Amino acid sequence: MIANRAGVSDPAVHYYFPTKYDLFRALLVEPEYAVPPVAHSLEEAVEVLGTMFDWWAENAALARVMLAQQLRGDADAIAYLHDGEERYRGEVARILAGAGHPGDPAAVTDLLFHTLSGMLWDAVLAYGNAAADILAQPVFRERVRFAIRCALGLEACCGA
Amino acid sequence: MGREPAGSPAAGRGDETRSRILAAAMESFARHGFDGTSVRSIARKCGLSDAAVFYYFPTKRHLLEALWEEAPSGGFPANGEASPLTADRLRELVVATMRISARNFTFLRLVAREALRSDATAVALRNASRARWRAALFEHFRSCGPRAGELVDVFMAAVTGYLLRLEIEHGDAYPEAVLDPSVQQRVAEAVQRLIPARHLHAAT
Repeated sequence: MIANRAGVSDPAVHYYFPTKYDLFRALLVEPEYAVPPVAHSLEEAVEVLGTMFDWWAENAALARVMLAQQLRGDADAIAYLHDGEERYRGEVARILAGAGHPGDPAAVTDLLFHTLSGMLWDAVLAYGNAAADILAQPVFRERVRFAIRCALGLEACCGA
Repeated sequence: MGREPAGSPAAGRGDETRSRILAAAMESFARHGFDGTSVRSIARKCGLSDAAVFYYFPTKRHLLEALWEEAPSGGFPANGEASPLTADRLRELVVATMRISARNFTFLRLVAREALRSDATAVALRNASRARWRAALFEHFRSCGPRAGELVDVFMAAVTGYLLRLEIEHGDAYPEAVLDPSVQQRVAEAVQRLIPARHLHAAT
């Protein structure tokens, strides 16, 4: 079925990926962001962090496969999450430092990582294969940037 | 899906049979998934005829909905007086969500797994449950003004992220993990930091 969809022969798939698990392991890729993870102001930081999330939004199908494996306790998929989080922590710390963010970078990163993971996971649970299309909608993109602004302490929207 | 009318002749025994069917269904669904479980296998497990099970639950979908609706959801704070949102209240909402998710872990985990496989029933059940959660939360955020809805979305995203992460890290031990007061404190503090603080009313 994978060979059919890729328009190649079965043996070709087996040549590159002897087992289905080899194929799965080939999915463990690092995100390639559309912009470098650096910022010189808080507003720029929001944009850059939003663009970093966009990679995951476009690759929601990957997030879906990984979440399924992670919930099943697959060690490679869980290591992929841990490595990704560590890399993300480093990138966000640099962005916040460059933007002159006054807060505790570890606490802000923790918030960003979990809140944005939650958005991505909720989308793949609710929309399955359509998640990438849904996440590309302006209303979702706005929601992601609003969450980032909340995590960075830039929002003031409760009219108390 | 309501319960049998209380006044029906065999109400007591009927309720008992119904609960027995639900317990057997839960076990089978957890082991074999929604698609992999037949109503017949549930009947056999309970020592009942297919017809007896169909009397209570005309379709597998009815069974699932009954399991879902009878999942204990009590203990979620209400906000009848529409009092303003405080940091304390935020913590209560986080902790209540964590308690409910611990109590219903077996079923919630099953629904999430099946939803990830795009099982239509599981997706519908999950969406309905999130809609209920969202409505209950909104009562507390109403005082936050025009962007209350967006704040609820952010709250839900954060809690979803922290709780799924706990499930990934702890697996079967998830209920103990989310009932651990220090874990609850960590998630509650994160959510308190996330929701714009100066708009929360001063905590007591």
